[in-house]
Amino acid sequence: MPNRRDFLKFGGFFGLGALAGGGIAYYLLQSEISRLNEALKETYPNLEPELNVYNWYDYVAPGVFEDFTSEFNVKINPSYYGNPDEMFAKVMAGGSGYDVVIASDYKVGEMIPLNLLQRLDFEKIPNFINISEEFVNPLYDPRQEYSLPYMWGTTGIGYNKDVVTEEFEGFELLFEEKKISKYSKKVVLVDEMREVFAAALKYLGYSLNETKEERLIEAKNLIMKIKPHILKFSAEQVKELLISGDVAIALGYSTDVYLAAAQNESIQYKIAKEGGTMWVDNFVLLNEAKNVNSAHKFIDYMLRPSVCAINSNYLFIANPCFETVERGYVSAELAEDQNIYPPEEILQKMEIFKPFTVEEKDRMGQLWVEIKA
Amino acid sequence: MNEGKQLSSNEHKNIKAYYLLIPTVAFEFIFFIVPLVIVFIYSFSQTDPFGRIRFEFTLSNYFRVFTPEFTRTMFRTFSLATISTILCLIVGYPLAYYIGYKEKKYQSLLLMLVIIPFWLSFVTRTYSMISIFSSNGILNQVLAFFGLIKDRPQWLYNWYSVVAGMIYNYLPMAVLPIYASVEKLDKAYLEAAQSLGANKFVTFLKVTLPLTLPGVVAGSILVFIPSVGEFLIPELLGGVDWYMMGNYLWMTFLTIGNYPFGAALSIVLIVIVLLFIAIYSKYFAKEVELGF
Repeated sequence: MPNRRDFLKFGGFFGLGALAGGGIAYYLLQSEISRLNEALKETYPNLEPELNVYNWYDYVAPGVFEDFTSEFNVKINPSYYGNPDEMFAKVMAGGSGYDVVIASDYKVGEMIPLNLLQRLDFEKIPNFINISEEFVNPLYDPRQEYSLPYMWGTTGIGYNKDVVTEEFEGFELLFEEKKISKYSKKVVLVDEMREVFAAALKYLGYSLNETKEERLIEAKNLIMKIKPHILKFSAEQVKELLISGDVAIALGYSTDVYLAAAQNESIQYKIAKEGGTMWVDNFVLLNEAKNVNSAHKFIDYMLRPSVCAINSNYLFIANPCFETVERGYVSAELAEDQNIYPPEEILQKMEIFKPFTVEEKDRMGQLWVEIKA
Repeated sequence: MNEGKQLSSNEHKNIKAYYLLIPTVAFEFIFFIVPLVIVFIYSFSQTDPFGRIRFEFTLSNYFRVFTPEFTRTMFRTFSLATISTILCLIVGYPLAYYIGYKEKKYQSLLLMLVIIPFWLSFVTRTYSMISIFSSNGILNQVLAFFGLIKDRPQWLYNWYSVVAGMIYNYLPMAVLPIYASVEKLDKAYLEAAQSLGANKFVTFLKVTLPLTLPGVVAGSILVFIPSVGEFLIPELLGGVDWYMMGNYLWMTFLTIGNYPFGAALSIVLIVIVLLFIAIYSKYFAKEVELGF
């Protein structure tokens, strides 16, 4: 029988041995990592070690940034905004420190003339070829110099099918007094001036980029008429209000409604038969960006069909990458959903926001204040 | 001739003491005076179609401030701020009074309880009200559990919920200054009043209240001014009738991007608030030396 002394001796040796073994293993691992890092630097000699990305909150599938970091050894520092106006004000003020910003379509159009963006170097973004034709040279960046699309979706009607049992096809549910009054104070509209006007203009049969004063007034009067039935205008609470059952009808982004539907199975989304907003979020590179090479690498990475699809599947949202549906990268559930990948005849009726000048925004803004105040 | 005059050592000390003010003065200058001047200059300028400021003098921003919507919004904002201030005082005064008259060892504990909600972020505090009062919230669940309600009423998104949110968030602003003046109050005055035959009510009215008035005035101003600029509480807890000056400013600056008009709106709001405070403090200045 080993006495206590032997036992301690044995234990001590064993412990030391384990420690030494562990140390050696750790050393080998570290040297392997640094060797890989060196190799990586040789493969991508120009990449800056960090990248600052400014994005909507929760707008990338978990793990995507981490995969980018482990592949290219570039650390991503994400920052978030809840509202495109907030993003725009911060970028416009300058000195934000961001490299890549994910910006809504019309915001891209507003940022270009302010010299906030730099031209993308498409040679560094070979995956550019994955962008489907219909997203090339968009209204807000007509020569495709400054932006590349990330994801796209629509603005439409979210509803609780347990409460809204009648059949409806489009915005008549919101704007016909007879219909909306049945759901009085159970309605939320997204607190975005252009989105609310877009719904009213579309219902009236106009383009959602209408700027003629008398048509805007017509739209304003329509919104005023249904205002007593609206619970509130909200930018951030659309999703929560649908989930909690506080509202039965919402005018909102498809993403918000689908995220609500993931938590409350009675929630459904419908694109109005009149059409509506089709929005596209884009990658842009700020003029003041410091990590330009990593930024291009990042955009290129995000446009890989497989990465596009991972984000799509997580966010319940369509991506502009070519054949991600046809090749089965995007889950069947998503690909078959006509409210996410709408058929051609519905797409025809969708419109992208045209960037407004300050004067045009001001004109609509005055009417918006009349609605709200 | 002053040139040859020697400064006394006391005066030397005073001048040195002024150096201590340099950080304060610098801070106030950079973060208060300069921005205010910028806002003032902006309010007389114009923008190009893309929102860049053009410094060409114009009064047009001021001419378009006074619309019926502006008046309505202003009235609503001041009503909300006034109601919130009065209710904060009504709720806050007895609380401050109670704490001020407690034994010393309990006072700090009670004050702590008043301040603890402030450790949470403002947004979290307001969201917590949503989770309590929403139609699926804790309150309705408790009421339903005891069979007191059948369907779930909506407590939120109306005037009451906004006012409740305001009181919840601003109450400590009223309690702390009132507590400070209650605590300072020499209790011998009360004994004197009572020994001279005043009953408790008269003592309160004639002695306690006037002597704690500085705290009340300070508290009311501390609640009133931020209430005028408040926009998040009405936005989160209000319904369609919540539109306040703060929301109007937010929209003008951020959604429209018309900085000159937003600046003009801000200047008008500042002037109106200053007038309001000036009248208020002039009225009270007779009884209270506030140094306004």
